[in-house]
Amino acid sequence: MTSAPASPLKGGVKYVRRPAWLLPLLWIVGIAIVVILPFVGVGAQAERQIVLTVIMVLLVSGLNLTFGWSGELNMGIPAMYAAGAFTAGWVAIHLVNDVLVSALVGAAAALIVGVITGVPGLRLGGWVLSIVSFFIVLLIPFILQVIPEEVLGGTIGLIGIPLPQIFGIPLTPDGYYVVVILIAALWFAVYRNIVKSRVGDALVTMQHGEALAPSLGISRYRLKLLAYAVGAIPAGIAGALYASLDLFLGLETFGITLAVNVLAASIVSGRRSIYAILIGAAFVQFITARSSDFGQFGQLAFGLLLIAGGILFGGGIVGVGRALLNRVAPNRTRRVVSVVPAEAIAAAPAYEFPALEGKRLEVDDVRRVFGGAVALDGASFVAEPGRITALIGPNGSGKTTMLNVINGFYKPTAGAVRLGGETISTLSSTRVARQGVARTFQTPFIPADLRMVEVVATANIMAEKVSLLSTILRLPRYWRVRRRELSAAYAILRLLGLEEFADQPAQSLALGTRRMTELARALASRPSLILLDEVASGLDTNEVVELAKVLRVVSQAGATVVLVEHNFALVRSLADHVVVLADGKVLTSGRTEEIEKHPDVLKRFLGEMSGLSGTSMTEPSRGRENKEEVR
Amino acid sequence: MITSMWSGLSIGAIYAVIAIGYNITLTTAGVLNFAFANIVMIGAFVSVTGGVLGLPVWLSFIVAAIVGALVAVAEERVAIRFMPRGEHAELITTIGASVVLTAATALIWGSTALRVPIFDQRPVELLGGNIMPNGLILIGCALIFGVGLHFFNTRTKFGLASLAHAADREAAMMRGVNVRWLSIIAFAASGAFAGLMGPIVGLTTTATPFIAITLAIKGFIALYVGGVGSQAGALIGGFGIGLLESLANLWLGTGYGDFTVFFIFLLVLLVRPQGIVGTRVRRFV
Repeated sequence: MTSAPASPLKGGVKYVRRPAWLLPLLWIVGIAIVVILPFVGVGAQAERQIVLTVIMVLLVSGLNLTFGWSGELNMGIPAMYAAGAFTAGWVAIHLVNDVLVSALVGAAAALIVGVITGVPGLRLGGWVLSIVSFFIVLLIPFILQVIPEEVLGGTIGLIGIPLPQIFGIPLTPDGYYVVVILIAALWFAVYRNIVKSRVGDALVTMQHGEALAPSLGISRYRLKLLAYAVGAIPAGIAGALYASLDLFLGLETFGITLAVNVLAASIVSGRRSIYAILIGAAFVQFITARSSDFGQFGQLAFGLLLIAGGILFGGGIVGVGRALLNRVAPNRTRRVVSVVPAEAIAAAPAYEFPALEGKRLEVDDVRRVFGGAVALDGASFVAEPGRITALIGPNGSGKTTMLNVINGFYKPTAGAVRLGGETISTLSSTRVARQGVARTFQTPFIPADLRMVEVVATANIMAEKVSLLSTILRLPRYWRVRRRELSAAYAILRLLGLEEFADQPAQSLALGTRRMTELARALASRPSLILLDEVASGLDTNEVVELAKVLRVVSQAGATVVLVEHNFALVRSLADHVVVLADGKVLTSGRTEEIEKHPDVLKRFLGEMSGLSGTSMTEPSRGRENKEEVR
Repeated sequence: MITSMWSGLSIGAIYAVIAIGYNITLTTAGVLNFAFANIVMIGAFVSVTGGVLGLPVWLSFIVAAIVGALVAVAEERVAIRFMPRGEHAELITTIGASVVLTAATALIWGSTALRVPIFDQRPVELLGGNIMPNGLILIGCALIFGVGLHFFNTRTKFGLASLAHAADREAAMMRGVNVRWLSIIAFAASGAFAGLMGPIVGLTTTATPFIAITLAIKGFIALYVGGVGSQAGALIGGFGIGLLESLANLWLGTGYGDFTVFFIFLLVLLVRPQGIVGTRVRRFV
């Protein structure tokens, strides 16, 4: 392939492999260092600050799951924290006094708050979730007012929480410190394993617009709810740990100030950060510990930080550091840990495309009206398996609308779409995708921060499910599926001649390469029907030839291929069957040779509107329409 | 009960004012300004200072409107102008602006609630219930601005044009509309409106920096329940939420008003996510 990566960075990249034991080892060493601090002379005051920082780390990791990994702003962390703290405190007073029980109870209580606010709030997301979660923080004083004073102490706060114990053994302050560090470290590993996994990839994919995830069969709502609910867990644990730290829960701890602090820490760390959370949490804890000196100036600074963070550094302190480093040393060699499984590279380069179970697509008298505008006006056609069907027509003839109706983004106003004899036009786009319909978009939808091979592998997320537990514990099943899908993705990239880009961030690649990435992703889902929306635009001549070759292979493998195309030369050389749309109706359809000579087609498109060469039906003003239609 | 309804309508008028303020920037610049309630409070504080300095009341209002407009434009320059599109950036930057303004007002005027010295008032009897005269002023202001802006948006060419611009920024830019100026003008107008309403709102709530967040959230719920983008909806939502809160406090007990509002908000989200007068917008492909 000819397209060069559009990476702005100079300097080389060295792909390395990291031994699997390295990270766990570093983790254990890190914990050990923190754990021994009180025993090498760190005083009680510093110990307390470390515990508070660790609590902040837990809160930020919970926020990041929503804010960073699912793109929604959760202002309700203080409410989840309070739910964990008060429930754990009450349980410790009245039922069992055990740190582990407290942590579990706290997590469960926070989870309930998460579900109550998340189920309605995430239906629309954006401001709605922020306000719902914000409101529940404002309700905390009233909730405590309503609950009888004997139970949770009313608005005075909860007093009389016993000194912490574990398995019946009372804990000294140092002992409690160690327990807190260990519990937090355990959660931190869980957090890391969730976000650095297929789940993390799915979350990042889901954030890239509203169309991409459903087209891969991924339900955005469920995924957001999962991240939001899981994000409540560390907040609840943090609350439980806090309850046994001060043995008193005052109301002022659980206010909006805390929500702002956690958000500020997340901005400093980077909203999708993992290890940098430690820095952000320590920074914010350092400032708040001196809040009596700073007073409202602390909040002023955090507010400015939010503004700056919202505008400038989505990547947090690590992103800023990296940008600085790139400026100082643009030519350095970067070491990048490769994600392509070694066995995939070692596999035989001759990759045989697996047989696909193509299904016959029937579009039956489909009508689609937007307000008063009729986009499709009773269009019917059939696309057979093992054949390439091209959908052509001038701008506004309804081609993209047709694709959107077929893959379920739009419901037809009348008529039906059937795949392999079964009606799919009543299903949601997510369900249609799971029936084996894959597609590409006019503007390639490539999620940020994923490598090319990972982008391609996202096609497999819904096809082969791995439980969250297997993902967190990295059980053999997780590794098996992960290796298989990455190997398959790599093999497809090799088929398309793109394997050299496999480890690169896909978003930084040239347009043509991104288009091919989308095609690779569509193929990786082993589709029965593949819909291609102007897949050749933006490709150079060599790439178009390569693309035609691949599409031949795919259709010979058995898939039904439907492409919307403006490049008539490509249609002529590739399509077996052509459907001509005009004004939302099928003008004519038939074998490519017939269509070429059809008098209406000649007159309407190839004559009047064509480019100078007579091979193109593209009008110069395409760009605008693309953006409006697919967003 | 009539007294409760009057107080519900008075507090509802405040929510409606906030919702109207949100709509002004939403329908022109396409941005929801979460710090709007903070600017209202700044207006209230300005009139407090005006009282200390012995300014005539009408001058206090004018100064409050000017200060409000300046603060809003400053916010637009700092927190909105350079915002990356998408990624919900305005959530963070306008919440950040709200935090900054809360802290700044607390630093300038202190954290204790101050009485707004426009006029002394005593409850009056109306339709069998008691109401503060300022409540009536609030209700009147909300109605005048809400209905006025509603007709401005739906009947005048400029109003319709700005609605179109908010819906599609790029298209507006291509038609030669100066989107940046439109955004500045929208923020200046909403800021002036906030400043102007500040003393009146403050007369009921007192001037205190920390109430802004509560008003901001209730105002959003009013906006949402009424239907985002509709000034008539803002009125319906504001008065509805205010009444609901006040009657729940009366019937269920003090403190239950907020619960009821929250519950109804969740219910609306689940049952009618487009709001009462809103139309369903598909944001998809």
